[in-house]
Amino acid sequence: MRLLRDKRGFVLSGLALLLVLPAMLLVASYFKVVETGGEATAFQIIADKVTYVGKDIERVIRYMSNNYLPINNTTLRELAENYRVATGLLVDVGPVIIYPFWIHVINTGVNHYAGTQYCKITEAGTGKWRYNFEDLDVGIGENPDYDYNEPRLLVEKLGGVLRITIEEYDGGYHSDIYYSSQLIKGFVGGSERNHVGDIILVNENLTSGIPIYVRDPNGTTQYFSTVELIA
Amino acid sequence: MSFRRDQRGFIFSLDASLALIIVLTIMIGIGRVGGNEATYEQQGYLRLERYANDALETMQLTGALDNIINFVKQDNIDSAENLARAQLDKILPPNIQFKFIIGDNRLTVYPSTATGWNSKFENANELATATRMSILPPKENFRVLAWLDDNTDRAFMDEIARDTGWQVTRTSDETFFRNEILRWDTAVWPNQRYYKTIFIPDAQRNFDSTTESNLVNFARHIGRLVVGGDTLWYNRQSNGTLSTPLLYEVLGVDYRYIGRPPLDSRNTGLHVINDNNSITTSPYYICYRADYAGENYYMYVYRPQLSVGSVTTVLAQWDNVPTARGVDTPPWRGIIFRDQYVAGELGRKGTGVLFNMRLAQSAISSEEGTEDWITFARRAIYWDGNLWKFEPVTLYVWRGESVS
Repeated sequence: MRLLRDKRGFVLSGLALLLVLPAMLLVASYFKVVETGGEATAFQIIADKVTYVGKDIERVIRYMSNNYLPINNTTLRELAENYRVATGLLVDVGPVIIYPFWIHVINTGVNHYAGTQYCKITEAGTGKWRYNFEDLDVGIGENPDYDYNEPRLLVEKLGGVLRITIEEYDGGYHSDIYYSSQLIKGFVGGSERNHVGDIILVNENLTSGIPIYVRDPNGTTQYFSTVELIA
Repeated sequence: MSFRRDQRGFIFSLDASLALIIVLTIMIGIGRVGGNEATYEQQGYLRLERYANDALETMQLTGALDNIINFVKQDNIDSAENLARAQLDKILPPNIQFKFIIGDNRLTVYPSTATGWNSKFENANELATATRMSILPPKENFRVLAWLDDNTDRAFMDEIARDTGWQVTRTSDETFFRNEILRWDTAVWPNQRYYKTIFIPDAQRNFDSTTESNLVNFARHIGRLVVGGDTLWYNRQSNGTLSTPLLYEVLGVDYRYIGRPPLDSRNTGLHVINDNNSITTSPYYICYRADYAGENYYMYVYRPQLSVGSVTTVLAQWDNVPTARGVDTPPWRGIIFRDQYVAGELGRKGTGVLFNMRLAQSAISSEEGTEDWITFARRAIYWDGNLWKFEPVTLYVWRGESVS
């Protein structure tokens, strides 16, 4: 076919197309690399910030302890609020008292302790707390739903004794529940909700660990630790 | 034209050349335009942010940050500013500028004292920040009048007031002391009394009646009176009239039970029995023992008045002490806190704290319990809220030229 003068243009031959395609692929790859690099950098910046704040909270609590400053739930809440305002991060410090509860998840073999992200402690009244555990573990490739009810323990302080009620276990796994080194109830949970409703009494064994939990608002990075003040 | 086998090759046609030129142009263009920006976005800001965090961390680890904060606590702002500037100049590269802030305008430091830094800071294209937390005394003036008549008292007061930012007026001249107790602060309107606390750790003298009357008025209507055992012992027989409250009363003590036990060379201790009061609160707890020892130490057996018992609280008591020859039976009271029981003057609040011992002695003469005694006394003197507050230390950094 013969083209008129006003219809003339560039004919993309097969060879030219072969050269253009890899070039386009290279450019697309380049943009992807830039995007990934940007995300990694943002992640590093957030991780730095969270880590430095977590470490600094540990330093401040030790300073307060060494300098006879009152360490109680009020001052720790004030400390957390100051960090929240100054850094924009979500910061929780305390409560002061943590009973050494932990669970051993039989199905996966992992242990989850009070004072970590796998146990949320809430006050349930004077001398009463709920220790809400999560039995799934991100460290072994699971996706925890953080519904914190595998198991949920009601802990009541009665003189020198703790009364523990297993209020709930809403999951398919089974766990052993420990208080310090003492197994207080084995093979709890599962689809049959084994031992849910049971009540156990143990002697109180207080520790003075102060949990620190720092994370960015999107939950990209998190920092957990526990400051031990009294052995 | 035909080629032999060994002459075959790739023919670079005109359209291929054009395509290659276009593709190369586009790639180089993207590389030049986006590359620098992308590289900076990935690494430049991260580097800037790490400059800030690493600089603060370095200052923390070397102790420079603590020294700067201590200068601020002592209200020595010039030294704090010079030290902060010198440290940050050493740590940060020349093309990185900074603004270092402690608390709410307590300290602001730029790389130099030249004007124009604030404008540079506000117009900086990008800022990276790092934050640490400091613990500082309250900013407002807290004035204390202290009767210090020997070196032990003076050393004790130095330790108590260290890094607190308090304004302490020290004297051992009774005429001056008497006139200062009820002094007015004419710099504020309406006028307020000048001092918030009067501290007499161990006054081994009998104050005249006017001095004592002023102390009583102060403790009833104006502020906090903190005294040690010796002070009350030497002023236990008041010259006041029956219609005037006496010194022991404003300290929450029943006169009938004032006594002094014999010297005892055994080490003993003070046990906290109430950890709800700000003087003996955390880290102290019920049954906490503060050691008390000295070569010639005294304890006293003052005990609260029954009539004002509802506002008087025993915060700590002595342990393992000898019986006081019929005066009172152990356990003897260690720290007595008397809360407000009559209306204060101009919204003020009158309270009293009595330490049933020679207060300065154990803290200074012995290594035992020193920090405890200093902490108890410091908390007793400062009653106007928390002794300290959290304040952020923030370092901003940005790239830019210096201000000449």
